[in-house]
Amino acid sequence: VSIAITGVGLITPAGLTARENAERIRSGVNMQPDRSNKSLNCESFARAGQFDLERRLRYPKNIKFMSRAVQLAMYAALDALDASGVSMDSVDRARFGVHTACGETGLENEEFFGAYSLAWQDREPDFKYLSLRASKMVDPYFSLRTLTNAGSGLIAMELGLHGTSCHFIHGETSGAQALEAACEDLADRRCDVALCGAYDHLGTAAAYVAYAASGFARPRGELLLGEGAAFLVLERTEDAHSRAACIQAEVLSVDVRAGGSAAPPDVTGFSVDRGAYRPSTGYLGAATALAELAAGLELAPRAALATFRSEGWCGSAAAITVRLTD
Amino acid sequence: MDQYGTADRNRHRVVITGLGLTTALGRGLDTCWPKLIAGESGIRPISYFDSSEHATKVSGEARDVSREPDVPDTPASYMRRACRMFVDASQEAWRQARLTEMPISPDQIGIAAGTSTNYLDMRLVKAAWETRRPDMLRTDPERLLASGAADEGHFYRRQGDMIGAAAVRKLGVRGPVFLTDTACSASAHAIGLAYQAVRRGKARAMIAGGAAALARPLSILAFALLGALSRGETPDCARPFDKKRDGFVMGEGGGAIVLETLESARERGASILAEICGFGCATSGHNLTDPSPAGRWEAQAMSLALAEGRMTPEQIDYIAAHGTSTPKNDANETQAIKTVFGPHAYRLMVSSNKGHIGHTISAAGVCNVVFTVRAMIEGVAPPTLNLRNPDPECDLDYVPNLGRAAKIRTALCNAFAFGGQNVSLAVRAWE
Repeated sequence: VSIAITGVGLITPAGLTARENAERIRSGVNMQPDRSNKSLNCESFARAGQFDLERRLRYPKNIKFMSRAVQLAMYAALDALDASGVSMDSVDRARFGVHTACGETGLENEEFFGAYSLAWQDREPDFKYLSLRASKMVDPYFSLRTLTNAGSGLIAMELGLHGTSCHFIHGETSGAQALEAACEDLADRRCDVALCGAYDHLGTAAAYVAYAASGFARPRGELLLGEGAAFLVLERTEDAHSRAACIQAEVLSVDVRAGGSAAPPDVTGFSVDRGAYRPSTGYLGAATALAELAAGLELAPRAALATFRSEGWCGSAAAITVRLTD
Repeated sequence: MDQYGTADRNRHRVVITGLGLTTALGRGLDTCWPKLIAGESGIRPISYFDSSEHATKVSGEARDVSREPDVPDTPASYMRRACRMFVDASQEAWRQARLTEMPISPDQIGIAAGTSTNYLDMRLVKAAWETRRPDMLRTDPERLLASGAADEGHFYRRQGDMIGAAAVRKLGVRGPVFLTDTACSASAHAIGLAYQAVRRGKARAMIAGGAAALARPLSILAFALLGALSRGETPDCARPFDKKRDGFVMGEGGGAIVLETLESARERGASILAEICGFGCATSGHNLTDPSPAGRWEAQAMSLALAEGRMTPEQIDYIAAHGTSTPKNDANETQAIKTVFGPHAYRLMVSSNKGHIGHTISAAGVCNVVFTVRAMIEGVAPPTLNLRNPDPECDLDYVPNLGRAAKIRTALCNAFAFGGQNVSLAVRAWE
């Protein structure tokens, strides 16, 4: 069994497609901070360009359940699916998997400010007063947007998918975990097609405060926080061949380790110059590993072996090795 | 080089050699278990904040959690409560598996943990409010930073993956790692992924499980907004499968199991407690909070677990149900069980521990597995607490209120998530 990548979707501040990202990285243009973002330090955040997701959705009303990160994910996932040429009319949706990863979604303090204003105005903040009456000041759809796994759930709902699924959280290496799980599910024949991706949106006050206070992000650190999503469509190579799909690359190995270093195969292949990549896109959090892979498929010479390494904040290390199809 | 082309994939049998648990019933499985079968509840009035004006007044708080778990290179301030619970449970499982006396190479042991990324530091919440922008309801990040309320530890407490990193450092392992957040099925997913890694020889052993500590005011408020929480004011308001159930009670918990290859356990002379033999996973793709219609995809997860374990429905003696005590879940799970098991659904035992410990969210799956393995060893089926009013839609044998002597040879452990990720694990007693 070998695993083929037949579709790629990538959205970052450097572009709305993998090709746009690759061109920007190739030309060495650095990302400029989003000075229109008034709620954050304007030096701290890079935003993706405008994209119209709602018009592409089968269930556009579900957009109210989508955080900014999930909107990015949905956009990249739909792009990857379109690029793969997989026909949703002929695929068995019970055998179509969704494997995703993210890092920075979850409860967002600002969403509660309406409730705080009712509960705490003119008195000492005390959680005692955050009763259900105060909670009525909170957007009722907010709770669903806090579900970290809402991305995979909403993608499954949009496309009617019922196969295996999982959602990973492991800093920059979580995308590699999603890729590993998807490849293993395909190799074990637990699913026939997998939509695998990672996404993050670090343009929130909570993320900014955490990264800046720790000294990682500007102004005290070097990171320009960004946002983005990268998705891949994966199939067994034999299945991709049988439907005459365009195979972009084959996944040879994925390894994510708890400590020390990950173990890629002993190859010297192409690897994306992260020093060039990050200034072009900003820091993408959990989306980093798969975004580098997605852009790398455009940047690497055909027939090359390419290894992509990433390390998480808490000590994990990942290595993904692919062979680009000639 | 191609790891997916390897012949003889999935060649190992996967056994359980260690168990660890912290819940509202106490710290350590030996503390929790007698209370579970005696029908004791760990649910109490909320102590973390004054809930007198809230609709939700009770929760299953874990009261005995290490404050200083002494993790190398990791100050206690880097670890949130769930992280410390997982470290406690992992150490307990590690000790039972005797991995210190009869070690395995650290490169051959990995970690798989499920947790909830959701975290808000209560001190920071208040500081953000107090330093908010005067002209609108928004955070003023620069004033908040200047207040000093966010320390370096805050960054790490916020990182969901710290739960794995802390266990890795405490136990000194260097193998594969998986960290999941699929809400209520996260730790079941972690166990399933660990089972797969051991089965295919990627690791010789894995510490798997998870933890969650969401019995906090804003988490409770967020779930209350979804209408998922019971509005009862007494500890018995968590009543899975009862006609008067009206939602779940938030619980806290952390659990871990040691999985290893059968060859490894035999070579080490470890006591084998049970075998994991199937992992089924299916996605509802229907609605973020509601179960799938007629429990179709929950049933699919159970069917896949049975098939992988090469078990027939008639071989199953017991199901550790997700059984949250919400009106929809319990009726739907009952329907799904009937779909998979047909007439045998009325002969097997089904129970839920949510009446004892509340819904531990990301830890729910591992709590089910740990209690099920102990039930197999002790020959006692865990009861469903506070089940007094039969519901015509929930008409199976739920082992009401008191544990029952029973031989359990094979079991399924269910965990179904908001978001639609349904997981079922097949467990076989070791005889």
